Amino acid sequence: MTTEEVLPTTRSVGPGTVSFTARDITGLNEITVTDMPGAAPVGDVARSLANRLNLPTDVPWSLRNDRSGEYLKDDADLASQVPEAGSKLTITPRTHLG
Amino acid sequence: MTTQPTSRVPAHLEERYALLRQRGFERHADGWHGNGLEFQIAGSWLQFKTEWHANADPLSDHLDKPGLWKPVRAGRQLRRVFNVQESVVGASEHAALLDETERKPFESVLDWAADTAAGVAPVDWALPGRDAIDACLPKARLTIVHRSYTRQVELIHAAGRLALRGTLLSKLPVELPEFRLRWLRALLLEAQDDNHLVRLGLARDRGQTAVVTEIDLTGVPAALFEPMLSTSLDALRWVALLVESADFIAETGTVSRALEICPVTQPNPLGDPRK
Repeated sequence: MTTEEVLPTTRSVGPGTVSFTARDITGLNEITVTDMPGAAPVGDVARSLANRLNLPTDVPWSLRNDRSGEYLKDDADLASQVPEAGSKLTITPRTHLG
Repeated sequence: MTTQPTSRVPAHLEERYALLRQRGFERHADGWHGNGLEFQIAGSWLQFKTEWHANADPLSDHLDKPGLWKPVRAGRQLRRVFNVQESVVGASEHAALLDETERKPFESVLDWAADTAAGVAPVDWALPGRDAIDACLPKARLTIVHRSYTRQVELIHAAGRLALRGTLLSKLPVELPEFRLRWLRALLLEAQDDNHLVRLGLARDRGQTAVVTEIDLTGVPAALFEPMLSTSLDALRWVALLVESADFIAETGTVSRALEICPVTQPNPLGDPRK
């Protein structure tokens, strides 16, 4: 028997908004976000999420998709990188290596 | 024999006054009146005013209308006002001095105000191309981050329509108590009085109500397009700071005895935006 994953058909509560769950790197603080504009660049989204999670806002933050493990691109819009409802994102400090 | 001191009126003002006379305006103590419009220079803004329909809702009936017209409370009355920065027109007039074939910027603004007061875009207005808009509108300027809030300004670019619209709250709770709604209306009306260019309102769509901000540039003269677009984005960014207060009022999970007292609407004594 094969099973087919059924994705929710709606992923936004308002026009052009994206919903997802965001948590900090410790996993202790988690919030459900339902009103994030899909057209907003990920860098700006990360900045406002840091504020919502009471993280320092004077350091740069990145977002990682827990499902794929990939970091979202800062300058690309959120909707193109968080296509499905119920995505889980982790906010992490942006590290510069080298 | 005594001679009255003559006050010299700058040439560009003489030119504007001549145009107003030519268009049937007459000078009054508070400015120029004609064709159902009033014109005056209010600080650093060129201001047109006209009547606001008595039964219209100042938080919904002005949305989606062409041009910069919006209701502003003047004492206990509402007037429709249309404001353009003097510096924008002045700079454009300076640039147009060398080109005798172009229509003067003030004349374009006068036509823009007069035509959109009647609810239509100027007949000869051409919607700027998307490429021209993208060239002077960095995409990053459309995103506004204020503390924990992220808001996106939408560019409405369609046949006969050019506008910028932001959403402060995408969906008001249906169970929002009446007194909370009154507080929200008081907040939006005051902000609409106080801030130039920006309309604030309650937009209803498919059973949901959103709190929106809007600047409609439909009919904007080509010479003013770029500075007006830039000024408009700045104005929307400033007004977006209201999102925190609006969200607090609309959050039904928040208990506040203070919000259970109905707001007393204060008349705007000057009848002019203050910022």
